[in-house]
Amino acid sequence: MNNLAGKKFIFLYIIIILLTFSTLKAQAEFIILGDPWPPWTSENYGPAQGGIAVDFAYKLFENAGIKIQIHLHPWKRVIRMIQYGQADGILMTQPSKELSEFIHFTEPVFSGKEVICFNKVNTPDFKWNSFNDLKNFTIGTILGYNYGNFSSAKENLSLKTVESQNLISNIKKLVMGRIDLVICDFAALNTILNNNPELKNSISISEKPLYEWKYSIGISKFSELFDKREDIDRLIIKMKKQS
Amino acid sequence: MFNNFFKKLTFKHTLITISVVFITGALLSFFQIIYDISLTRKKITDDIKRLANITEEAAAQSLYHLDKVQAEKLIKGYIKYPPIKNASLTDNFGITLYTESSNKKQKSSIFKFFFSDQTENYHFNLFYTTENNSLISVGRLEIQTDYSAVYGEFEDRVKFIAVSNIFQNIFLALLIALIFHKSLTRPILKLSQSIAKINPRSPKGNKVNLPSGHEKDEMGSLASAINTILREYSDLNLQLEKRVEERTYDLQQANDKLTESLNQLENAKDKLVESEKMASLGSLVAGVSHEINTPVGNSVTAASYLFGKLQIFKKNFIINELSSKEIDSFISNSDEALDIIMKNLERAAKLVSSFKQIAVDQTYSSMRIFEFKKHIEDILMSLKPKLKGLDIEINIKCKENLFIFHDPGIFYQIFSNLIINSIIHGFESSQQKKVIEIDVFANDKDIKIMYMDNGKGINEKFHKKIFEPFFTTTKKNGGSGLGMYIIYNLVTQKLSGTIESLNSEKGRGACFFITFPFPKE
Repeated sequence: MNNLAGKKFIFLYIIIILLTFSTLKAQAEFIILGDPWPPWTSENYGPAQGGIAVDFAYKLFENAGIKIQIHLHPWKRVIRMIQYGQADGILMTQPSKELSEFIHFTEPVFSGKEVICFNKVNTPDFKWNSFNDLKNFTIGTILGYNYGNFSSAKENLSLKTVESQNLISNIKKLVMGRIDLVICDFAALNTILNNNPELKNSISISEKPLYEWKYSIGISKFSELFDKREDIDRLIIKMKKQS
Repeated sequence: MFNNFFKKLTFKHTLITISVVFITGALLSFFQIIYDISLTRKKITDDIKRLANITEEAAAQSLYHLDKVQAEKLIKGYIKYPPIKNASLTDNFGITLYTESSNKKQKSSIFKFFFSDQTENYHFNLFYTTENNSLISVGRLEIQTDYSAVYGEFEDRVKFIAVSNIFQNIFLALLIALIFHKSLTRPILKLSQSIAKINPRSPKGNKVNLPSGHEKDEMGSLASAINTILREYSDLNLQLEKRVEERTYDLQQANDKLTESLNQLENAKDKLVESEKMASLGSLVAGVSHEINTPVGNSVTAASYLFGKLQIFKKNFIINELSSKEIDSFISNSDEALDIIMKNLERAAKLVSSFKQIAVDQTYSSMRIFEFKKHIEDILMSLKPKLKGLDIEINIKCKENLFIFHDPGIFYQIFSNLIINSIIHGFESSQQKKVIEIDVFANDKDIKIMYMDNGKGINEKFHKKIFEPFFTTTKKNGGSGLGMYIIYNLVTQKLSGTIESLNSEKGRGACFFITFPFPKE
């Protein structure tokens, strides 16, 4: 009697396990990471709630027949998660030598510029032409971000920087006068200023951009998604042609 | 001076009190400190948990952002808390974001022997809460505490307590010594001095002075008790003296009576001895009379016979009717009768001669020169009536011409008593041939006499008592118990010698060995 009940139980258990795995396989989704960066992404950590880059990525991968989830984390954590195989791709990233070791950069999907904003009350006459002009300022940057030439200039010229966890933190520090300059994405800054109009009275943007950039989607070389990189590139080109 | 001080009650009590206080205090302090350390360790644990709880969010944020600067600030903040030896923030990838150890030097402390763990590790898993309230595991906070600093603090405290205790105890010692001296030692000293003045020989009126200020305390009670005892002692002493006087009087009376009784007893004994001696003499006289009676009787008979013959002869002569035959017969009968008379009278004379000297010796104590062997033979002769019909062989071994100067009556007493004892006690109901051996050995210095019989001997349990006065086993048969006592006294006192019984085994006969100095004239 007991043996029969035990056999039934084992059989039921195997069925449940098989069903569970098959469901999981069917529902397997690739994890794409980004950081809060309005207007490109939503402004909170966790599952992305929208944004230009988010909407584009969903559309792109949907067209490719690939299910994805997009989560937003601090940038440094995003990179670490990719390195440790905990995610399959990055929503937006500038190609760089360091990241190329474990990330494949797709065809560029977005372009923009990195600018320097300053407190127009404290430093109303701020202008810059070369990195040497930034020597006497405390510059706010974001943890883990790669700022291209600025990063090397910072090392070479010993520029004084203060790292914050996100752009809004840097803006707040700038308004409070704790830092003098903030390096930021132009679009992202405009979004913040639009959302916080009072900041417009104290923040101004330098005319000369720090640099202009092009963003690609990063695909982890450790992910199965890496095998579909060519399909994805083709789709990007196709979607760009279709505007 | 210091030796005396160390022996004083004040010092001893102070030392004991201080020792007890010090040891108790030290133990209590020690256990208090151990308890405090336990509490402190618990408090540290609580503090660490509280600290982690307070900084949890910031730590989780720094880990979530992998913000090394913020992590460093936090860790440095942790390290400022002295018990924390090391703190680190490790992300969920296993990479340490920031770690730092305290550069405080670790102290070796005695307290580490009482607690098994010198350090303790704490792990706190950290979660970051996103804006939409989802929890993300971001890593862990690891804190290691080191209690050596805590132990060091407590060790310093122990040192402080020890030093302060020493000073406190020194102060207490002085204070207690003073208090003891004033409240206990000094009154006791005064009391002992007062007691020392008491004359035990005349307790009457003796009194211990109550120490002033101590009338109502234990010291006062002690003094009162001593005074009560002294009073009772005085009364008892008086009673005792009175009783001693009474008892002494009674004792004196009893002693006088005892002395009187003793004198009477001594007199009685002397009389008894004398009576014994006289009885012996009487016996001698009776024996002699009996011995003489026969030859005298024979002589009387012969004389009577001769007288009768003479009357007949005389009658016939007067009437001239004597024949020659009758004359011859008369002469012949007369010769025969006279011969009988002469022989019997000679025998009687010889007996008298022998007995005379013995009787004289017995009656009068007088020193004279006499031949020892002949004297013994005379004694045996005098005892012949006693020995008659008993078939006793008496052998004397003594060299001829052994002349000594002494009281011969002493030896009569000695030998007659020994022989009579052999007859009465030794040969009583004896069926074998009765033999008495008297061996005399003499040299220039002393004379030794060995007296032996082959009688039944002397029972061992009586052997040692035979020389005691009035000891006899034949009281019912008229034994006085003075015979051996007289012998002992004569040998030891009159002869200045010794007598001992050599053979006490029953059935092997009696044996007495007498030795005395050779009497010099």
